[in-house]
Amino acid sequence: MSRTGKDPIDCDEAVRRLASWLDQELDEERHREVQRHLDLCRSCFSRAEFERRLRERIRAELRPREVPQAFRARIGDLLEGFAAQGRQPDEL
Amino acid sequence: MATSTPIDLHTMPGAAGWAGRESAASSRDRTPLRADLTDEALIARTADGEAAAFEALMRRYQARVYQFVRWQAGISERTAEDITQEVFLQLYRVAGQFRGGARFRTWFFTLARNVCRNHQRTLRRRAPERWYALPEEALEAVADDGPGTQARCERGEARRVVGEALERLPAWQREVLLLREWQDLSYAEIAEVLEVPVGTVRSRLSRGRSRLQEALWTHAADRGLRASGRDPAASPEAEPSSDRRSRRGAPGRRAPEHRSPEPEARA
Repeated sequence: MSRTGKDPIDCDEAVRRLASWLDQELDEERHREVQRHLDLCRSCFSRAEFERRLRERIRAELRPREVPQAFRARIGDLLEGFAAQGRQPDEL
Repeated sequence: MATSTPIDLHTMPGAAGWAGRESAASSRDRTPLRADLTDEALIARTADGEAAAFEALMRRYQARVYQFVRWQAGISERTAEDITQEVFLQLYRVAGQFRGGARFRTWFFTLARNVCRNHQRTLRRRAPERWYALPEEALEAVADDGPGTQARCERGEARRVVGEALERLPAWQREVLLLREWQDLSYAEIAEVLEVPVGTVRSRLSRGRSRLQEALWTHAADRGLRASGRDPAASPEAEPSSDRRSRRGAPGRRAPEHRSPEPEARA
């Protein structure tokens, strides 16, 4: 639909590649083609923007949080125990 | 092995040491550890018996591993702590087996996943534990209902919705999402950790994301946000903005400002 002489791919192809584009999983040329298409196509740009923000939202909601303090202390004890006993990794 | 050169913990992230204590490793290490040392360098020094290098790795990965473990099906919070500890014990034990050709993160999460699987096999032989997803987040959503806390509650609620949707995903979809969204592994790296083809990673990611997206939309619809023109992520008709940068920068960073012609100008 929005393919022009300057646009290397059409909307269907851009949408097909969108997830990989957002994940930085396309090779350089394909990545550039999607980028070029998004520069020219408002509809696909909007879709890409929506997908990107949605991912950021999901990532934000699921972002790892600090581990409980008690657990940190537990791991700390573990480390101190290693050091105090002068153990090597293969001696565990 | 080690000569005793004091380690400068103040160059490390979280320099206060574990639970505010002085690092036990500091007395037996050799050269200062810089904060910008790669994971691969740290694991090599761990293999040489340098406890401070191991401590640095743990600081980097403890939260991610803990959360990764917590999301494994059928694991309680307490068990997650046990398993996470076991993961790090295993890491210390097998540090010398890491080969430089691989990326540490991929190798490490393969190890973490194997430890989880071993525990799950054990769990399956026992009565299943009752597992509450994200208990503190759920509490956060309901604990504070005073004035001015609505945004916080909404955020906690959205987190709960996404968390529950993630919990409902099949384990194979959940794993791939966590490795991608939390650990920033590439498709190829995830495929290596999970021992599946890259195409499988791609399809699992796609399905998993769709499910989380549906959950957010349903939640938004329930709250009437769609009717009022808001949605959980962004408006599909969002205009290009100057600050659109991806989390890893590349799509946004590479993207020049949108210069889409006006609709009437397009053929």
